[in-house]
Amino acid sequence: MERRAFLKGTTYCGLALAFGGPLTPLRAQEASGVGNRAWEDRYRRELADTLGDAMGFAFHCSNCQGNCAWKVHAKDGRVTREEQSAAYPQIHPRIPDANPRGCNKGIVHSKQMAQADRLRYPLKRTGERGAGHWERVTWEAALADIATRLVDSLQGHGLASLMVYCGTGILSQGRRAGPLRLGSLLGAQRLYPASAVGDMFTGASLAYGLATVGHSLDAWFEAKTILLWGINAAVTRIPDAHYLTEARYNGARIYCITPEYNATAKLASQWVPVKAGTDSYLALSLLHVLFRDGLIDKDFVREQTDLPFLVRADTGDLLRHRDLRDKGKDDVFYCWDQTSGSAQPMPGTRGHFKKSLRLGRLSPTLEGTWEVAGKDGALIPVTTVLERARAEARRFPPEATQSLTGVHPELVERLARDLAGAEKAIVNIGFSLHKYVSGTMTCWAAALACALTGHAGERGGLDTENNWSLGGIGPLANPKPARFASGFFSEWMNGDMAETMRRHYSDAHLKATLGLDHAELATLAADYATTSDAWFGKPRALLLFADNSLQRNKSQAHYRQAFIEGLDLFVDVNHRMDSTALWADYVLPAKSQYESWDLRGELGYHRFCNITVPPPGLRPIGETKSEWEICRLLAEAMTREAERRGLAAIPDPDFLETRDDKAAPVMRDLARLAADFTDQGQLPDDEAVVRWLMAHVPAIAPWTPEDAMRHGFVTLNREAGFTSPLYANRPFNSFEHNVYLRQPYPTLSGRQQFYVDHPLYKRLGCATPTAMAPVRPAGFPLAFFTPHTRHGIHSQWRANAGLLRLQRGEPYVWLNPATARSRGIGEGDPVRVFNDVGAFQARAKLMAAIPPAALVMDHAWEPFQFRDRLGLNNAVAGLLSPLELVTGWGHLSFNPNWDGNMLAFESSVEVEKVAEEQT
Amino acid sequence: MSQLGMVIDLNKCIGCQTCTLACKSQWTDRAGREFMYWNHVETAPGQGYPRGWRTAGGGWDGDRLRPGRLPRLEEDYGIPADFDFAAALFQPGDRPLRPLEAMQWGPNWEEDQGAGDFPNGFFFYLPRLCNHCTHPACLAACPRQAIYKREEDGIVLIDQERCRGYRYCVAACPYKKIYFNPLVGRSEKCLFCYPRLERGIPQACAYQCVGRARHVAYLDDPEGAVHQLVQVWRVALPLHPEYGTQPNVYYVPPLSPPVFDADGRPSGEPRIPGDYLRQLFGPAVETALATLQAEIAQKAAGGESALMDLLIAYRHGDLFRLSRPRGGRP
Amino acid sequence: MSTPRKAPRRRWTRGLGRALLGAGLGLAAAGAPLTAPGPIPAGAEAPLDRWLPVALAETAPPIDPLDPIWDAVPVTPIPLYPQATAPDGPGGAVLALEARLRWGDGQLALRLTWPDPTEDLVDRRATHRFADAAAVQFAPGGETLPYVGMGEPGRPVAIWRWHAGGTAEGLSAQGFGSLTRDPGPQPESRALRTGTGWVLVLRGAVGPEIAAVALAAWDGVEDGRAGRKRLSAWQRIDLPGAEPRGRLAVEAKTAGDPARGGQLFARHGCGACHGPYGGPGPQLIHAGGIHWPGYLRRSIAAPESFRVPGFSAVMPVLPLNPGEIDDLAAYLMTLR
Repeated sequence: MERRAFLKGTTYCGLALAFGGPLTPLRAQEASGVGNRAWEDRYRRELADTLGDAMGFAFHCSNCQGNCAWKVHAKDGRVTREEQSAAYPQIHPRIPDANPRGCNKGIVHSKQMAQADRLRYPLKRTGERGAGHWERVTWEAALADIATRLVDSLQGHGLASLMVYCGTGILSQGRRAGPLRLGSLLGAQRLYPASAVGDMFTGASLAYGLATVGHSLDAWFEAKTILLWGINAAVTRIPDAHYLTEARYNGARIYCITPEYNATAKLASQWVPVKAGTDSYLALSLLHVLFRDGLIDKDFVREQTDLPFLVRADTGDLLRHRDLRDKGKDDVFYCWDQTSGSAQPMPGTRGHFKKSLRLGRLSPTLEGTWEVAGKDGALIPVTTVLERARAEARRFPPEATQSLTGVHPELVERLARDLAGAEKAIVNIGFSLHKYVSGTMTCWAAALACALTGHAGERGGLDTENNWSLGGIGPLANPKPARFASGFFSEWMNGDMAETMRRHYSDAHLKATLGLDHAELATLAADYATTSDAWFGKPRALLLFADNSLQRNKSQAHYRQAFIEGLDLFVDVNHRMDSTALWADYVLPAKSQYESWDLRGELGYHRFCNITVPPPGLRPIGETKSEWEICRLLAEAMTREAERRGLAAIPDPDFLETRDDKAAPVMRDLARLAADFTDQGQLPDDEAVVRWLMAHVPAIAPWTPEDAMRHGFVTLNREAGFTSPLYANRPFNSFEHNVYLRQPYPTLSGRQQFYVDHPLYKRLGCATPTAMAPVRPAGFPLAFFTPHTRHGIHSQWRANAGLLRLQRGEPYVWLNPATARSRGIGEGDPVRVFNDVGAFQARAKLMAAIPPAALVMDHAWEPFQFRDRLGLNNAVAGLLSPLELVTGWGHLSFNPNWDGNMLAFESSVEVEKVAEEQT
Repeated sequence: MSQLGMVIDLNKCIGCQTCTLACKSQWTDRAGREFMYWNHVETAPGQGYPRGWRTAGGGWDGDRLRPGRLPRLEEDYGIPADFDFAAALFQPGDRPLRPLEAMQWGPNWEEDQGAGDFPNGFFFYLPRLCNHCTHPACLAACPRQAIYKREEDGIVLIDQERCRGYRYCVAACPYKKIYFNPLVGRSEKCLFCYPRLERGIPQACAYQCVGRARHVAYLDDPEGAVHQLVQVWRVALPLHPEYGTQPNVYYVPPLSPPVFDADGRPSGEPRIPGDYLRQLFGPAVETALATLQAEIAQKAAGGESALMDLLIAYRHGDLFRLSRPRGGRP
Repeated sequence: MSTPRKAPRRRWTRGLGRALLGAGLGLAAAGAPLTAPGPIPAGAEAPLDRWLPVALAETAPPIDPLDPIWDAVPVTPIPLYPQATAPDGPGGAVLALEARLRWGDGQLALRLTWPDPTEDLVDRRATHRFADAAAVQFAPGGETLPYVGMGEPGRPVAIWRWHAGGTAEGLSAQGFGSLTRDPGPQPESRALRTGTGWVLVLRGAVGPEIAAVALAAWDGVEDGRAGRKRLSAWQRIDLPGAEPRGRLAVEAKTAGDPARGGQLFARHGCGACHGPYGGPGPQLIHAGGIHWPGYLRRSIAAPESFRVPGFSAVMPVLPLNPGEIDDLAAYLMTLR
C-alpha cells in the first residue's frame, strides 16, 4: 500500500491508538448531551441501596406523644434509612387521615443509633464519679459485681434502699416492662415519671379528678374555636399539627396564647401575647367576661358541675351532710332546689347512694343566698359555688388585667365570644403552664370556662392530653407491689432543692406571691412527707433506665451533688452516653429504637398502637442488649448471688397479701427472682413480651402480632377510651360517659369540681379558680423560660449531629434585639446567663419574637454541650407549689392523677456578654 | 413535554425540617454532598440559604443570562458541623461537645428570626428545592450541554458523566439550588426524586411532609391539585417570577395573624407586609391571599369550599397524582 | 541514564520507531538532535513559521521538571492569547509561555513554563474556587487543521489536561462542549511551583500521526475553566515517522496585503459584528495570534464551513475575489 494513502486512511485510528477510545462522529453525537441517559442509573442505584435488602417497623420510643409508625430499611445488617409507614386508615371521609406521622427527630435515628455517643460495651468507672475515667468490662463481670452490691444493699439497708426507675426516655409498654417488672419483684422505689419531669396537670386533676383528659387530635379538625394555651403545637405536636392548619382551612378560629411569637402563633388566626406567667389573670378575665355577659350553658353546669353546690357563707366550706345531721356523711353535698325551695342532697357525689348525675325532679338553683338549719338548729347562711366563682372572677375585669398580661380587653372579649359561640371548642393546655405555680389555677380556670360554655363530649372542652386505657398490663409490669414515690417531691428531697429556693426567693417575696414564707412552706412539705401515701427515702442503690435526671433537674450543679451523694451504687442503662450516664458507676449499653421488639399504644393523640420489629438480619451494635434481656440477666445474677449466700425470702411488711386466708407480708424471694422474672421461662426476650402484650391487652383485640407487622401498627378498639367510648369512625372526645350516660366524675363532688374547701386552699384564696402572680423574683430583670425544642424530644436527639447542623451547632439563648442591644450583646455573641442560683454560658440569637423582659431558650440542651458542663437548669431555682402539697382531701391524694410539678419557669436571670475565648 | 409540578402550601408548613432530613437521608448524606441540602426550609424574611441567595444573581434578563455569584462553602452554605464525641463523652475532663469548627452558616441558621418588632415581629417558613424550571438558566449556561430537561416529566438533570464542574450552572441558577461537589468535581442538585417517581413513590420531601403541605401532579393534568391551584384557583404562585426561569414549584402564600396597634388592640392588618410578599411572589399574591381569605370565611360560615377541601386534602394520598395525564407525552 | 521505557503497544509504529531510533542514536552522539522543518513546497508565498522543535532521544523523556536533560532542549516562546470566541473569555493580557518538547521511546514530553503570580490548587473545601490548569491539544496531520478551539464535529483532537493539585487526564474533543475523557492510558504529569509561576511536564505516548499541538493555560484566580483560558495557535511538530512535511503548506500560506485587507474590513463593516467587545460574531482581536491563514480564508469564503459554537449563522458570504480574501486574511493575521 502506498504509504501516504495508508496514513491518510489511518489518521483517526492512529489517534485512537495513541490516546485510546475510538474517535468517531458518534462521540460528537453524544457530545450534544441529548440521547444517552444511561448515567441516570447512578441515582437509581443509590435509591436501591437506601431501600436495602430487609425492612422492619418501628416507632421512636421517647417522651413524645407522637407515636409514629415508620418503615426501617436495612442493607447487609445495617440500618440504611427510615421512612414513615404512612398507612394509617382514614376513620371518616370528612376527617383528614393521620399520615404520614413522623418528624425531624425520628428521621435521624438511623444516624443517631450509630453515632459516636452510642454506648457499645459495658463500662465501669475507674476514677471519680463524673471524671470520665472508664474501663470496658464484660457483661458477666459487670452483672456479677452489680448483683453482689445490690444484694448487699438489700440485706444491709432493706428493700427500700433500692430504686429501679425507668425514666421518660422509655415510655412504651414493651421496653418499659423489663425495668418495671424487675423493680416490682424487688419492691424497689419508683417515681411517677410525669411528676418527676413536671408534666402533671394539677388544674385538670382539681376539676375532673383526672390529670390527662382530652381528645384524639383529629378532633381539632371538627372544632370551630381552638385555644392553644401554653402549647407550641407546631413544634411539640408535629405529626398532628396538620389538623390545626386543616382546621383553619375548615373555618376554625385558632388562638395561640404564648409569651413568644412562635411557629404555632404563625399558623393561628390570632396570637395572644400574654406576658410570661400571667396566664391566670387572662383566664380569670375570660371568666369575668363569660359571667358578665351571661355566656353560660345553665343546663350543663347545673348537672355536670359543682357550681350549684351550696357553700357555707360563714366558714367557706361546702355544705355537707354532717353539717345538717349528727354522724352525717362527709361526702354528701347539697344544692338549693328551686321546686322544693330547700337544700337537697345532690346525687352522684362520693357519699350519695345514687351513683348518677341525673337530677330527676331536682332543679338546682345557680344563684342566690339562703339559710339552712344546721344539726344544732342554728341557721347556716349559704350560697352557691357559682356565686363564689363569679365573685372571684369579678375581681379581674380585662381592663384591669391588661397592664399585667399585656392582652387587650377586646381580645379577651373575642376569646370569650368565640369560646361560647362555637358548637365545638377545644382548649389545649400545654406543658408550659404548670411550670408556673399559677398553672394549676390557669388550668382550673380554663376548665371552668369550658364548663360554663358547656364544652365537653362532642362539644369539645379542655384538653391536657388524652391517653388510652391499656388494661391487662399489670401481671407483666407489676406482678408484685412496688414502692411508688412522688416524682416531684422525691426529686425535691433527694436533690436538696430547698437550698436553692431559699437562695432565689426572699421570705417576703414568697409570702407576697405564694402566701407562705419559707418556714411555712417547709412545714407544709414536712407534713406532706408524713401524711402522703407516697413513698419517701433516699435510695442507696440506683438502677436508672433512660432517665436524664442530671440534665433535667433544676439547680443543676447543686442537685447533682446532692443526688450523687450517699449513692453506694449507680447503674445507668442507656443507649447513649447522656449527661446522667456520665456520672454513673456502671454504664450498661442498651439496644435502641430499631433494635429490639417494642409496642406502644397508650398515647391518645391518635388511635393506633405501633409495633417495633427489627429488620431481619439486623446486626447488633457492639454488645448492646434489650432492656428486657439486661433485667433478665441481672435477675439471674442476683439469684445466683442469693443462692451463694443461702439468702432466704425477705418479708416486706410494708405490703400485705393474703396467704392461707391470712394477711401476710409480701415475700421478696431473690432465689426465685430469675424464674419469676421470665414467668418460669415464658418471657425470655423482648419479642415474647410484645407477643404477650398483644395477647393480653383488651384494647388491642382482635389483632395479632402478624397483623401489626403488616404496616407497623394496629387500630385500638372501643375499649381504649377512659371517659368515652372510642368510636371507630369519630375522633375521640372526653367525658361522653359523664355527659350522656350521667356517670359521676372521679371527684369528691362526682362532678367537674370548681370548689375545694381544703383549709390551705381557703387560706390561700384558691377555693375557686383565681389568679396568682408569677413567683419569679425582681432581683434579676429577665423572666427565664425554656419551652420545648423542635430539635429534640427533651434531651433525646439533642446531641444529634444532623439536627445540630439545622441549628447553630451549640446552645444559644433567644433575646429580643432591644434587650440584647441595651446590654451590648450582638447576634451570635457569647453570653453568660446568671442569677443567685447559678450561671451558664451560651450564644445569643436575636429574635423579634421574644418579649423584651425575657430570656428564652429551647430546653433540654445536654449540660455536656456547655462550658464546664453547666447547662441551662443551673440557673433555675427549686420551688414547691403549696397547692400541689395538699393530700388526703377528696380526690386530692397521692396517685397518678394527683402529684406535683417541678416549677421550671419561676426563676429570673440577667445576661451579659463575655469574651469569645471564655465560651 | 409533560411537566411534573409541585405546590407547597406555606400555610401548612410548620418548619419542622422533616422534608430537609428526608431528602438528606435519601440523597445527600454521602459522597461529598454532606454540606448540600437539595431541599431545605429557611425562615423568611432573612438572608436565606445559601446566605444571600437572592442577591447572588443568575436567572434571565430578557433573553440574556444575568451574571451570578458562586456561593462559598464556609460562609454561604456552612460546613456541616462535626463533633468529637469520644473526647467529650468518653475521655477524662469536661471538654464540651461543640462543632470542631464553629458554624458560620447553615440551612436553618435564621430559624424563627424573621423581621419586625415585638409584638409585631413576623416570620414564615419557606421550603426551597430545585424548581425544575421550564426556562432553566442552568441548562442554558452549561457550555457542555450536560444539563437537560426530561421529555417525559420535565425534570431537569445534570448528566454526571458529562459535567466537568465548570459551575456556570451554579452561577446561573437564581435560586442557587445547584451545588458544586468539590470532592468529585461535579455539580449536583435535586432530582425531583426521579428514581422514586419511577417506582411510583412521590418525592421524599413531599411524601414525608408531615404537615401535608406539598401537592405533586402534572401541570397539564386537569384533575391534579397542581393544575387546580395554579391555573384554576390561582392561589399557588412561583417564587420570584421576575427571575424569568418559569419555576414549576409553586407556593400558596402565607396568611398571618394581625398586628397590634400601640394599645395592644389587634388590627385587621396581617403582620406579614404585603410589600414583602409582592417582592417574593409578584403582584398576583394579593388576589391569591384574598381568595384564600374569602374561601376560609365561607367555611367558617358553615358553607362549602372546593378550594379549602383541596388544600385540606382529606387523604395523604390525595396530595399526589403521579400518573401522566392522558394525551401527555411520551 | 534511566532504563528505556516501553511504549504502549502500538501496531505499526514500533518497527518504524526502532528504525528511526537507529538514526536518532547516531545523531544523539552529536548532542540532542532536532527534527528540522522541511522546505515549504514552491508556489506558496511567505510561509507561516509556527513550528515547535522536538528533541529526539532513544530513551523516554524525563517527567521531572528539574531533570538536567531539559537544559539541552531548546526553548520556544509561545504566546497564549485570551480566548475571545468563547462566552465568558478571560480577556486581559497575552501570556508568555515557554515550551520544551522531547521525544523518545514512543513518548512525548512537554515541559511548559508560564507565569502565574498566584498558586491556585484544587480546594476540596471550597465551592467557589478554581485551580490553575494547563493543557496540550494534539491534531493529526492533513491538508488543514481542525478548529483550534477543541476541534470540530468529525475532526477530533486529543488533549492532555493538568490542573494544580490534581493529576493529568487524557481527553478528546470534537468541538465546544464535547470534551470526553479517554478510557485509554493516561498521560503523566509533574508540576513545580516557582516564585512566579508554574513549571509543568506532561508526558505520554504519542504516535507519529500527530502533526500539530496547541497549548492552553487557565488561571484559577480569574475563575479559569472551560473557555475561560488563554490558548496558542496550532504549532507544527515533526515526530519521527511522521508523513512527509509540507502538507499544511496551503493552510500556512500568507499572501495578500494587510493594508488592503484593513480597508476591506472597514468597507464591509466587519467590525459591526466582530468588534472588540464582541457582537453577533466572535471578537477578532487575537485572530492572528490564534488562527492559521487557511482557517481565516475558509471562514471568510464559506462562513458555514465552520461556525464557532454559540454564534448565530448570520455572517454573509461577501462578494470577494480570492485576492481580496487573501488581503482580508492577511489583515486578520496582523491582529494578535
